[in-house]
Amino acid sequence: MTFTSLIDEVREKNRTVTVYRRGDPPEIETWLANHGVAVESRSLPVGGPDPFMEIKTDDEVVGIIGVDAVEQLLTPPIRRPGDRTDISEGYRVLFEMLEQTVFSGMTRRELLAVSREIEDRAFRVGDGTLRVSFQTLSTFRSQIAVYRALGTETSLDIHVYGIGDWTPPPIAGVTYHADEALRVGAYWVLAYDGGPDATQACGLVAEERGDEYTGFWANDSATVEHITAAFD
Amino acid sequence: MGGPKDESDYRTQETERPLSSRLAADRFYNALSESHRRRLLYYLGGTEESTVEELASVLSGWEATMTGTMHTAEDRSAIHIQLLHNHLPRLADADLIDYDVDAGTVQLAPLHPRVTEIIRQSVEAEQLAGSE
Repeated sequence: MTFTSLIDEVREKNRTVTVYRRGDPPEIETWLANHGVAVESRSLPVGGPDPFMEIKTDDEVVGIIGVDAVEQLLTPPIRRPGDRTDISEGYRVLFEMLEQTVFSGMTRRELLAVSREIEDRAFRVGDGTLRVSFQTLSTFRSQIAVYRALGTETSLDIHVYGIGDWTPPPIAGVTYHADEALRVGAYWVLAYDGGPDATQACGLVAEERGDEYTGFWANDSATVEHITAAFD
Repeated sequence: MGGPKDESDYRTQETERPLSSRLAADRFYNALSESHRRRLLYYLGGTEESTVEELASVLSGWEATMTGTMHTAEDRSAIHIQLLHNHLPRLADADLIDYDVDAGTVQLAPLHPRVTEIIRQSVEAEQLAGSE
């Protein structure tokens, strides 16, 4: 499986969200719309319920939740399905939608923020395998400090891929894979397997188009395995 | 469910039932004696026409915002069943809504401003109590 086919596969999931609200769209609505989710809105009367959203898969309602509750869920530290015992289908789909979501038009800066989340999680768990591609090894230059901490302060096995346009300094725990075949050149990819805890697995695949990135991120170990396989 | 055809014709001509006859009817208080039904009327007051499906989502969402949790597909379908077999027939019976069973559409019946006010105040009072 290639990185491109991974992106296409995630794009095909048929999910819709209907946001019931008054006035301007809440942040989460804009966010979802900007991240490849089909979003509609309906208006609520003044004095009625607080804004809420209805989540559907293949036109079947899987859950309904207040916008406030969603925004709380997304406030760090994010409590993921693996952290809960009584997780319902609605939450599962919501998280999958939020974290296994196709995005487009993402800037490098936004991509870096998501990457940092994945790196932070790998750092907290402190064990397992983290694979990253920043397109070119020279892009990795600004990440040296972060990866020095990841490599030396944890037991992580870290693999850095990229077009070999620069020779990075050796860091304990970090293996470089200079790729001349341009296989990873267009892609910004991170895949963390969660180490001892598969529920901590997370990953990101982004393809550069112009100055912007299109792709998805995932929070389930099955998808992360697919991403990992695409590196080989 | 909205009673005989001639009665609903009469209602549209008169725009609303006389307030006194409504306030003297037990059916009116029965219809308003449940939170979902009051919310439903309130919601209809702010929209042209709704559907049973939409009302199930709105009542479910309303509940979800009060509890701060996810309402599941099962929660929503429990409300949907209540709408079909309890809430909508009762409200139609009390002439508070126009309910087209076949089309699954629901509209607020023409209401006296004081009735609208009672609905508004009761719903807002409950909202306030719920947010405390």
